[in-house]
This record gives sequence, C-alpha cells and structure tokens, in this order.
Amino acid sequence: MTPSPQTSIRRATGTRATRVLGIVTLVMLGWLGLFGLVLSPADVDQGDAVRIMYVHVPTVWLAYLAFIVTAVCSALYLFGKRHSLGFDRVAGASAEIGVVFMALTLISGSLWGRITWGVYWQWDARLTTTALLFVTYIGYLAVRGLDGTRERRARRSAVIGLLAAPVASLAHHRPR
Amino acid sequence: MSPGRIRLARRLAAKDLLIERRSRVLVNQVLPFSGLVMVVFAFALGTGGVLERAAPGLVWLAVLFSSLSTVQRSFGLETADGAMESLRVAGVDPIALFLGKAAALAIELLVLVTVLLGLAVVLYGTEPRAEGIVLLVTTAISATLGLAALGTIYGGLAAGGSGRETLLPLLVLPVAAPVLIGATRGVEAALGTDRTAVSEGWPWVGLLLVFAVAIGVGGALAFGTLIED
Amino acid sequence: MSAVLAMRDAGFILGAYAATVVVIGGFALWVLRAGRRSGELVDDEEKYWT
Repeated sequence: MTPSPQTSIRRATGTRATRVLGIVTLVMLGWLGLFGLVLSPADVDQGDAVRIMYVHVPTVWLAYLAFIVTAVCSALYLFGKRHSLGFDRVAGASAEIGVVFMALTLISGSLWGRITWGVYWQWDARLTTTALLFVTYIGYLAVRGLDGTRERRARRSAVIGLLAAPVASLAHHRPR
Repeated sequence: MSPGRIRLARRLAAKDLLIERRSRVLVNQVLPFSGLVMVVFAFALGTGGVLERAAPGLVWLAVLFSSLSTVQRSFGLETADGAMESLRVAGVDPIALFLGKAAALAIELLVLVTVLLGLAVVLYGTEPRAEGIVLLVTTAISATLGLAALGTIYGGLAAGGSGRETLLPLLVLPVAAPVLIGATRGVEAALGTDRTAVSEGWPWVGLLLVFAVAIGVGGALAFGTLIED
Repeated sequence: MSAVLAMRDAGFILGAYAATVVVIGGFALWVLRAGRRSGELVDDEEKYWT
C-alpha cells in the first residue's frame, strides 16, 4: 500500500485490514443488539434471560481462545530456535484481550445468575475456576509490567504464562 | 537426578535451616503471626459451632497467609547481601537451588502446619480421631510439599527489584487455591467434620500429590529462567 | 423498543449488553490511543505496515 498524504494520526499502528475489521466489528455489534434484544423470541425455559447468553457465551469463548494463544505463543517463544520477540508481543496482547473478555464474562454471567438463580454468584467448580483463571492472568500482566530488558521480560512472562495454564486446568478436574 | 545435585540441594537446604536456627525470625515473627490469625478468626466468627465446622479451612488459610511471609523471608535472605547473585555467578545448578530452597521451605511450613493444627484443637475444639490420623498426616505433608514448591517458584520471581514484594500474594494465591481446597477437604475427612467419612479424603490427597509433582517438576525446570535477573 | 423495555428483568439484560459494549469500546479506544502514542515514536518511513 502506498503511503497516503494523510495526517500523522492515520499513520499510527493501524492498517487497512485493522480499519476494515473495526468497522465490521461495529456493524456486527449493532447486528447482535438487533437480533439478541429485538428480533429473537424469548426462550421456552429461560425466558428473556437467554438474551444474556448471546453476549456471555461468545465472550467466554474469546477469553479462552486468547489464553490459549498466550500459552502457545509463550511456548513458541521459549522453545523456538530464534526466540523471536514477536511471539512475546502476541502473547502479551492476547492476555490483555483475554482478561478484558473474561471480566465481561464474569459481569454478564453474574447478571444472568441473578435472574436465573436469584444470586449473582454461586461457588460451583466452573465459576470458581473461571474466576481463578481471571486473577491468574491479571498476575501474568503484572509480571509483564516488571522492569528488566525486553528479552528478560519475555522469558519471565513466557514461563509464567506456561505455568498458569495447566494449574488452572488442574483446578477444573478436581474430585466430585 | 545425579547424586551431586542431591548433595548440593541438601547443602542449600541445610544452609537455610541453619540461618533460621540462628536468627529465629520464623519462630519469633511468623509463628506468632499465624497464631494471631487463628485468634482473629475466632473473634470474627464467634462461637456456637461455626468455628468448629470451619476449623480445617481456617487452619489452611492461616498456613497460606503465613507461607507468604515465610517465602519472603526465604528469598529476602538471598537478595539481602547479593547472595543469590553469588550463587548464580558461582554456577550453582538452578535445579539443585530450587530443590534446596523448596525442601527447607517445606520443613519450615510443616512445623507451622503442625503447630496450627495443635492450636485448632485448643482454640476451636476440634477433636482428632484415631482412624483419621494417617489421612491427616498424608494430607498435611502433600499439601505442604505443593505449597513449598509453589512458594519457591514465585518467591524466586518476586525477590529483588522494586515493587516485586507486593506481587507475591497476587501470583501465589490463585494458583494455591487447589491446595487450599484439597487440603481443607482432606483434613475435614480426617477429623470427621460434618460427619464426613475418612475414605472421602483420599481422592483429595491424590489431587494434592498431582499438584505437588506438577509444580515441583515445572518449577525445577523454570527456576533458572526466573531467577536470572 | 417498548417491547424491549417491557421484558422481564429488562434492567439486568440491558445492563449486560451495555456493559459488554462499553467495555469492548473502552478497550478499543485504549488500544487506539496507545497505538497513536507509539506511532509518534516511529518515523513514517519505518512504518512498513502502512
């Protein structure tokens, strides 16, 4: 793409692809609101509460996907031959996305729980694990904020990113 | 696992324990603190059955909080005079260093757990029963091993540098949650809290052992990377 | 629109949607601002992606 004589703001970190993706996202958010709130009927069992599921489920999937990307990129950074810092940046950016969407999952989930169970939170295994995963990745982002050279930060956070994933899954597979 | 590595790990563990025997920081500061935590729990929850039912969980909560201080003490020793730097420059094998620090930590925590379980009998009125003794000891040991390995990993990361000490609880507590849950259920079954049977405790000991092994192996492999700065 | 507001528990449902849109929008704005700030640190010729 040829550099266009635009203002310096247009030449930040955006590309044509990210702009198109952004516009598509805005349109799809409107689409989601239209179908989720207006056009779709209420569920037979859950009633109108099911409408929260239309935002709750995609956010939790996206959060899990982001955490998987973080773990994979951490492994690629640590065990790759070139120790490419690009993988470290993707891992960090993905963890940020994961934390944001996990927060949304917890918010929309507790609102759904308030309608369905009458309480915002229940201490069952799945909810507890989700909350722990959320806090674990907040810790991961805090580790990324520590001082040190780029390479040290990358190695450190890759190790923490890799340790976090199996521990969270261990909490998931506990007895009973 | 070469014999040289094990010998080195034993030396490092002995060094930590010797420092503790001479300085008595844990005995004079952390142990009273954990006892205080148990008393404060009693103030907050009051009497009337709640305390007795919650006793196993409260003991492990007190252990968890005190273990944070213990870990900070253990790595404060290393950073104070640049001892960790010297060990690294001397080419000390990081796996041996991890095993040594974790072993010393495990022994210190085991003493803490024993004292706190004794305090629970005195303060909370919990009664150990004969058939649960084996389960009680196994639970305590396996949970302590997991906590020690976990504390060593994150203690190594959080030692030295500005603003790192406050990071330790944030990193340790979420990962330690499975230990807290498993150890509490195990002790509940051993003591018969809420009429639980002893056999209900063993699956939780399995969880604790899997956790300790996973964290131990992962920590031994990762430790060199975490302490190098 | 009135049908939407007449739903049972409309406050909770609309609240969940509003929180989602606001948080995603806020995060997107934060990323854009960070991108603009770091974009100023780089010469235009080095921005190989544009």
